[in-house]
Amino acid sequence: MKFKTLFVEEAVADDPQTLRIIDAFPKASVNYISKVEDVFGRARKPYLQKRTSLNLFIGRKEGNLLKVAPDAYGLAGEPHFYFIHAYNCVYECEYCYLQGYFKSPDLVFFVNHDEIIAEMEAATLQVPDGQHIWFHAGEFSDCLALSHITCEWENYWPFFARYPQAKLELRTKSVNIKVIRKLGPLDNVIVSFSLSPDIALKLHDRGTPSLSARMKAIQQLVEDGFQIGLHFDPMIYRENFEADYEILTEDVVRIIPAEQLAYVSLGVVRFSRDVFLEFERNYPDSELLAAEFTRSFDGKVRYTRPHRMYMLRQVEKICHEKGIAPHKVYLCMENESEKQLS
Amino acid sequence: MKNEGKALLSSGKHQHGKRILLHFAHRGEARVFLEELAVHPVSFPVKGLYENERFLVVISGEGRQNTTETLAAAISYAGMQISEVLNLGVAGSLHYDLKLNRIVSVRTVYGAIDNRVEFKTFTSVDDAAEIDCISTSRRILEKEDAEPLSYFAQIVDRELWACASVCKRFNIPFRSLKMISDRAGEQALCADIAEDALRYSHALFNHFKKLAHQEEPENERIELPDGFYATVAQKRQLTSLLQAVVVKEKRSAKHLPDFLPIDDILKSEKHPKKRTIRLIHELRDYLNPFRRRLEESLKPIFEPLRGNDIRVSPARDYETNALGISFTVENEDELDRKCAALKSFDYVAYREILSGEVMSVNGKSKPAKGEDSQAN
Ligand code: SF4
Repeated sequence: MKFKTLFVEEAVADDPQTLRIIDAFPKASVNYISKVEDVFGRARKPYLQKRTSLNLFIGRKEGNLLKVAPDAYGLAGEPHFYFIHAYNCVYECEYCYLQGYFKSPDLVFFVNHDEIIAEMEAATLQVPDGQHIWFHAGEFSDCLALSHITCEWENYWPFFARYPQAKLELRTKSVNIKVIRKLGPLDNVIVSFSLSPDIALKLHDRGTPSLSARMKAIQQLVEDGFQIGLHFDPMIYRENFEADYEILTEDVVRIIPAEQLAYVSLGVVRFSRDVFLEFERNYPDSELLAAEFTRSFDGKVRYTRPHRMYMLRQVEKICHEKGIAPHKVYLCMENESEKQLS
Repeated sequence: MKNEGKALLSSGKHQHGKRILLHFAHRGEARVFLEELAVHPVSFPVKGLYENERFLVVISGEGRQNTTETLAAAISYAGMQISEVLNLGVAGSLHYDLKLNRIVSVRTVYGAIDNRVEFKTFTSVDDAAEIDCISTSRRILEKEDAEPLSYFAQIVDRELWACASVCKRFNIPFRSLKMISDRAGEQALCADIAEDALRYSHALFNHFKKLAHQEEPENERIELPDGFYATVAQKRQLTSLLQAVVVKEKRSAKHLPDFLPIDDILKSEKHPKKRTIRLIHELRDYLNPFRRRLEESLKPIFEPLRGNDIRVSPARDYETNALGISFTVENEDELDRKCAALKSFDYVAYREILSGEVMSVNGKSKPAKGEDSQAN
């Protein structure tokens, strides 16, 4: 990964994580700025310029550090929050909603993890005994893709070791698991992988690791004792997609023992209107554009309702048939406000 | 030198009757173009407009306001018959690794009024371009002023943002070739740049000439085969369906006729209009095989109604469970018959299909009410 220029907020210039990141890119020029927002997102930068001229910003996340997550985020009935430790991603999935989100594809890393953890602690202490609270990372970036450079997760591990009632989900498409393997498994840390059948992944998940590489990474984490979550999301229709998902599900069931499989979430490809326009502009040759989409009840662009419901039901059935406990399978259903990431 | 400005003028050739508009800020930079292209002055209230059969040349003067006014007037003069705007001129470099006198094609143009960077940016049609430009409202004479601009772009000028903004307003593609004349913030005298203007004009023209002779890609057009008749709306629909086939099949539009079931349709349908309807249907099924499955699943459920001349109209794209049912009656028998048909209609099965629950992998839907009844 090459960055042309690093922009560093003066306030975090001496932070050890900042210094480590700067060291990782000895050839990049470094500019010190007062606020990330002074440059990042200040003017619209076309999304596909991430291929040739990507900048990296390092700063301090301000405002609400924890946000209440939409229902579709996880198994219902427990409080879910997401937190933002980074913006943007080095991969290029065609359906990614980031392409319409920040008005710039440049990466931003926030380094004030101590403040995020303090908010997590405050929220955790409010949870009644016997209940869990969930924290999800990966809302606006891939959690592990650059973790060997950012090394942020070492800040979070002691917190989650101390509070078993707090659960952490790290959502990824990467196979960059070196850092978290070193930290070791915790029962309340779930590493969740987004998976699609091989063919869909090759066609639409540009620049991401192959399915076999992801499977290998999952296997290594399983052997280490990690809890694994899976996202069959976004599902993209092809003739005989059922057969593709049977193979995929068989493979994951073979690799992940039931006690280490935390959940499987299912969702069908969907776009906000703006993201769909960006997607059309960025990937005019994508096979996905040949599909028939409709503006659904909430204005999002999706397959027709019978179509998307059929896909969800079929893959749900396959999961059950392959032995995944029904309570571990959840559907990102209608009325959701969820996004597709990692 | 890199081939900056790939496929220049490509849009000019296949948009019959349209001209390319060349935009300069200064007469000096335009001089060689005026002579070599043999354009003649246009009598027009806005000065600085020249033309020949293929080109319009406009010299706007420096800065945002001059550019906006003059360019908009020139485009209006041409009755919008402009295939592309090409901005040509000099720019200052904001990055030391950019060599002086190099000609670059601009990728994205940013704008800045005083020190405030505009959110709007414009991207040229040259997808091989790699250099970004920022257009400022005033000259950049100090290093401290140049540095924050370098966060956004590698070169700086005064006009391109306004030029691109006008193009956007008129929905005309633009590109820009800039010659790096100096280092921004190093107090280059305008007089120096003006003295060099003729040299810049020669260099820009030579570059322009080379690019203008490049091979231009043929625009692929999708034609309806003989023996078919389509209304305007159908033509639009067919174009987008065929475009989707091109994307899905990853083949050129030229090879579509071999791929489509044209002969079959010609043989089996006599009427040109019906042939078109059938072609649209086949294409939709091909692009969305699920639709056919769905329609086949719904057929037995609708059969008792349709078989009795009762019209059913599902919600658009089946987004809701609402189902329009309408019919007319002319006598009591007909009313009884239609009421009986309505009674036998299995709305629950309809709703279940829309919820995706009853369609199996092999595409068979749950039998309609009564079909598998074991009740005594
Ligand atoms: S979907 Fe996830 S992995 Fe893909 S580009 Fe977006 S953030 Fe990155």
